[in-house]
Amino acid sequence: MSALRLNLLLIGLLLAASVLSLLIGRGGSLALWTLWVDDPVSASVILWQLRLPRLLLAILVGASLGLSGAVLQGLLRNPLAEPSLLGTSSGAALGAVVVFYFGLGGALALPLGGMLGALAALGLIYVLAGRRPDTLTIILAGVAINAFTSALTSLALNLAPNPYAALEIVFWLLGSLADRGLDQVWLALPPMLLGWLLLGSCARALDALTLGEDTAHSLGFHAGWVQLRAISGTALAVGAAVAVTGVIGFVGLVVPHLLRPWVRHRPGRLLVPSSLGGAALLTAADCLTRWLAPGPELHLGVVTALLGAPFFLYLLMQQRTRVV
Amino acid sequence: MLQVQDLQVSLGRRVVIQRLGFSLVPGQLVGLIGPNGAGKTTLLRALVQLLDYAGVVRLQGEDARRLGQRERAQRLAYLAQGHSAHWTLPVPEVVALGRLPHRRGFSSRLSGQDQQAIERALHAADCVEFVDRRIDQLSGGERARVMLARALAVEAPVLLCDEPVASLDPYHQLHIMAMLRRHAEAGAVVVCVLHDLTWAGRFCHRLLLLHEGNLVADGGAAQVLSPENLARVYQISAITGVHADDCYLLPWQCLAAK
Repeated sequence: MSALRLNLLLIGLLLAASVLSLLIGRGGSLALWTLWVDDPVSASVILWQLRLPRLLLAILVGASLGLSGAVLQGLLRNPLAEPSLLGTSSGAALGAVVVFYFGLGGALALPLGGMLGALAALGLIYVLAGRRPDTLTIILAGVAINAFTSALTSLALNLAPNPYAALEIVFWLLGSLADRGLDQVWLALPPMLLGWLLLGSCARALDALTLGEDTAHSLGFHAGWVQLRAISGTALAVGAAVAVTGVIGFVGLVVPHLLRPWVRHRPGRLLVPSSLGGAALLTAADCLTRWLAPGPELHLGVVTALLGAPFFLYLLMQQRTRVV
Repeated sequence: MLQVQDLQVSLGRRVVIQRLGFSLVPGQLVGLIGPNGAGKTTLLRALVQLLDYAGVVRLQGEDARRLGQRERAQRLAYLAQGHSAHWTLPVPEVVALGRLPHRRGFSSRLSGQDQQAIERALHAADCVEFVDRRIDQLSGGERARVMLARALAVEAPVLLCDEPVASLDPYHQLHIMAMLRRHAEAGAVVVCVLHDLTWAGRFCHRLLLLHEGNLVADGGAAQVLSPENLARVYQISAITGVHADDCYLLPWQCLAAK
């Protein structure tokens, strides 16, 4: 399949998931159809103020996760890499939790806290990894930051002033697109777009890195610059995503991995399909959260982890058999 | 074409290349030889600007440090040791990576010029039979040829190869060495790190002998591969002879340790 046809197919899937996402309600109800006939005013309020922002966020967040996953796998030349590996997600989560914890006001506070947390995690990686960071050092620094920020998040939970505050934090950490408005879309969009630009600018360099850092350098791609663009792009895009939706795992791992054979393993060519695929997958998963649960709505992060974790294991098993 | 003046390279505190100078002109296949740890790979890596150095490297008259990444990449192709490929790309896609320094804009489509360069490189390194395979479906020697094709596809005026024939069978060693010699004679500067002194003596127009980071001999094979140099630098003796007007050399025996 050519790259163009693959992208068209993914756009088709995304459109189908989007239509479904606009129509489907709690418990898989399609009541919006009938409401449209009886009370078009209420129906249009639901559509424009509830369903549409939710859909837009699913697309933006899914694309950010898919894109940064593809870039990080290319950069680290490791099919098991994903945005949370660098501590970006847990850094953003910690930033948001701090905002929760201290009850800082304003609509901007939560996403800003998330962004600052993600950027702090990124800064720490560079401090820990030193002036000329190599891949292994970056991964290890990411693991350390992940562990530390998670511990601090747990500490915040531990010291939470009352059980409701703790519950609020926990639910937020699970990741969800419910009850988000257009405000959140406008908040997340600028850093995400900037992040996408940085990530997209890495495409050719990722192709060159296939042959190792020395060869990539000889082809005119400075490894340090590529790293800086890829990691700050991830921090911006994923930081903004986590800041508005909470932590949503495995999309950034699974989507690039699934699509890689379709672009003949070229890491640079994986970026656009992976963004589209991430958007489609997250939109579909969000439909699933509404469809599956008749009672309290399932959190999106729970659904992606439930589906993603077994897939991750499957990848590990496959890798092991290939090594043997 | 490629001039090196007062080049000094340190790895950590250890000085690996000491005040080295030479000047290479187009039309010559240059063999860079010396025992393990003599500094051959370090020298190539410094020339590609992968390592910091003191001194000056001039590429076509211009200071290599001042050249932009892309411009340098168009003028200087480098085949690294190890031949790593992290993703299982199809062989033509690997060779196409050599065209990256020439690509402009965002289109992923190769130009006709790119396509022709890739074809030429695949032919030169005798890789045409693998075009339907992926890089992970090749043997070590086959992969080495594909990587050489990748470096050739840059079509740069200067080509630096780190052990281009080390893992090849005899047919392909002869084939590739002869091809590199023709490539140089067609107007390029070609520098190859070689361990096989037989090939070095037979195919190279000029040899640079490195020993402990110093350039200890520079010239034709007869002069550089003298029994004294072999004894002093390599601690070996060799059999030499003449066949069909060509001199040959065969490493034969270790000499007693220093």
